[in-house]
Amino acid sequence: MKILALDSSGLVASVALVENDNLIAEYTIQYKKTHSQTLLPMLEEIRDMVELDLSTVDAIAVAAGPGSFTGLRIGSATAKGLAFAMEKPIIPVPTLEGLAYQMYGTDAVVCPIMDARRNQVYTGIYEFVEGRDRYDMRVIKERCAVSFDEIAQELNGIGRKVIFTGDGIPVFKDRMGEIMQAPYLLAPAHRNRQSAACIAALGSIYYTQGRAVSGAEHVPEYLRLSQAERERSEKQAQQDGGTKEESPQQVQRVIYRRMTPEDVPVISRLEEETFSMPWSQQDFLDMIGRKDARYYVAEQDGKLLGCCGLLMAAGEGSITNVMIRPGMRNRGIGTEMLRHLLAEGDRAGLTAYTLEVRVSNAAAIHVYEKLGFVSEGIRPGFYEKPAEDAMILWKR
Amino acid sequence: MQTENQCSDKDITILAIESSCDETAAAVVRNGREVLSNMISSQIDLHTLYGGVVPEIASRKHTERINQVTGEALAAAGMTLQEMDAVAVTYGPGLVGALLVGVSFAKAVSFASGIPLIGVHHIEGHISANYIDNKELEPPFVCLVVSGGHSHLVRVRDYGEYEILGRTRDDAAGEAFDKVARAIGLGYPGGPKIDKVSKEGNPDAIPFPRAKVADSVYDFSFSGLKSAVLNYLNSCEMKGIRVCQADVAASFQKAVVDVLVEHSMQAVRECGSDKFAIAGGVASNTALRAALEKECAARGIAFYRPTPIMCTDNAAMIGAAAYYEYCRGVRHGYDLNAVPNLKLGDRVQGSPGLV
Repeated sequence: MKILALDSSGLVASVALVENDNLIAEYTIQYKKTHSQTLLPMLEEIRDMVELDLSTVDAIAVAAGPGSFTGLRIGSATAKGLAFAMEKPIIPVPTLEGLAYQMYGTDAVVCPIMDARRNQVYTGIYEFVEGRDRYDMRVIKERCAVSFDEIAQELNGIGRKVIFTGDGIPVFKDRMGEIMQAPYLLAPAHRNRQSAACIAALGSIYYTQGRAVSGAEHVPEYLRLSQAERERSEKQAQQDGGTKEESPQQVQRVIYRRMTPEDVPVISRLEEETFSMPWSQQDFLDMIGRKDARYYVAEQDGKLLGCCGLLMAAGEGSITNVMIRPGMRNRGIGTEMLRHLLAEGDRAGLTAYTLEVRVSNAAAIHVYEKLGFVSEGIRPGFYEKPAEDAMILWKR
Repeated sequence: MQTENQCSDKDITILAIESSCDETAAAVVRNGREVLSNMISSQIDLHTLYGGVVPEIASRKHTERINQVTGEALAAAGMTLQEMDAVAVTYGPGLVGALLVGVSFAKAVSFASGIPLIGVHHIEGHISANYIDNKELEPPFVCLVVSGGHSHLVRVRDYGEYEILGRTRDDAAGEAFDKVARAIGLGYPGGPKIDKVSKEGNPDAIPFPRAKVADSVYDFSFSGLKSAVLNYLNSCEMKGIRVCQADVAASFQKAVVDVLVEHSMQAVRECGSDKFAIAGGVASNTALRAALEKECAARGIAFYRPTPIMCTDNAAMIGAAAYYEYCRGVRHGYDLNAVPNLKLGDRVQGSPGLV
């Protein structure tokens, strides 16, 4: 598998080529020229230097945000142009995950901070856990735009040793000394900026998880609305008596975590609204108590948006539930939630996954196919109310 | 300057991309004159919410749409990317963030496909729209380019050779239309709205000034006119006089048209040209078209204008301009950057004959 990767989300322009577990080339600069002048000439240099035949590339990984709006667009538009001409997919890799992955294997928690102006940082909190044959990176706090103080408090609450990385370090170094109670260390020069090699390495993993999208589908994840949209929605919120408009920015702040007993009453109510044959509260409580089950929820601002879960047996995961709150569907929340569930399954050593879906549920089938599931047959009359065949899907 | 024609007998087909403002556009054009497809994805409804183009929103929408629009252009032309002789893209002038989407995308397409890249000047594109709709038009001629962002009086000496005779010193003509439209409550986009309302108004109702620029006979200044309209509205309000929207619109429009026509005719006369063309968004203004048509006819000058769709921002015009650049041997490197204030006639990179 050959992955070409680009990162122009911040001060650095970086291009890399990774084949399987080998870094074939990486070209990174941090210089005053605009990314528009450097990114493609750097790729051209790499292509010529390693005699790369572009048709052998499987996918283009790109640092998909957050970051400088213009920088993100130069990277994304370049990736989209490559995808268009090469007819290859794009693997969007969150910029902060790319930064955090450079600290691979540390037992500290990793906190990348990027200067987001307006007194904020783009940040998240990550840790490494031992997986099958390598460390897996796990999200403790999903990417977001907050004040440095807010993320510092969160790190103090976790109480573990922290490694900071990213171009926010010089901006917030003094504040760190004032506010951090948890022990912290700073990443050195060769690890504290974006690197396309990291985007490629993570991109390879995400590619096998079915997270690639078409060139047409890909857009950067800004984590912020434009100023004009923000002002307009604030104005409208005032006019509407304080109710805030649902914005894409908020959708991006969805967090995915394990289901707890406290979630069950709400999940059960949503289940009743969604399905003709809902699971009861007791069904969910039984399941989340089992060692061979994994249940995840999606949550936004304290509001549960959906859940999914699987049962494990003989190295295979049987997905028992997938549910998204009405009004929140078709926003990629289900897809992202399932990715977290499958990643959890992978960590538990699962090698295959299966599920059933009503044959008429095209939207759900599309999501499963995007995640790498393939139809392997029909189970006639599996469903009741109304009676319908089930499609059996497998991801192996 | 070397102008050896490199397109003597073979057909040249160009994929052109335009994203300088609020339209994401792609087109396939053959030999600079024949439009095989022309796709435009307009964001105007979105920007109307904000009373004008919001650069950040425009850039985001371009990023969302550019692959689809480009794919649709090739599909509508019934051709594949590999059949293209060049990939052309607007690299200035325009909104820098918006331009960068098209430039980055086009460069990557060119790089990955091995098809040569040609950067095109947006205004040269507008002028070249005339080649599409007027097959017999050839340089030299004089052209008035008026749009939301530009007001230029240009002498087109040859394909790709431009001499700026006059330009606006402050607001572009289209900008003045937008601002006046907002002031009299017509909203965005101002040009078409004022054009429409003016038909019901008296163009001689209010004597707005026809501004002259002291040291240049061809330069324009519209900010004084805009201020005059705003002052008129204020004084009516203070005196409690009801403002007739249609009369203000018609009188303002007449003042703009008078100045544009007068300067244009003077340029045609002094250049000794027998051909005159208009281009740009404001070129579809009906009063301006009518006045120029009449003045040209009276002087025995051939008058050329693009169809209204070719007056708006589109990629076919970029493909037309790119063809003549292609013939002159212009090719750009992958360090091509967006140049938001690119001057007409400037060639930032890719000198003719050097590739």
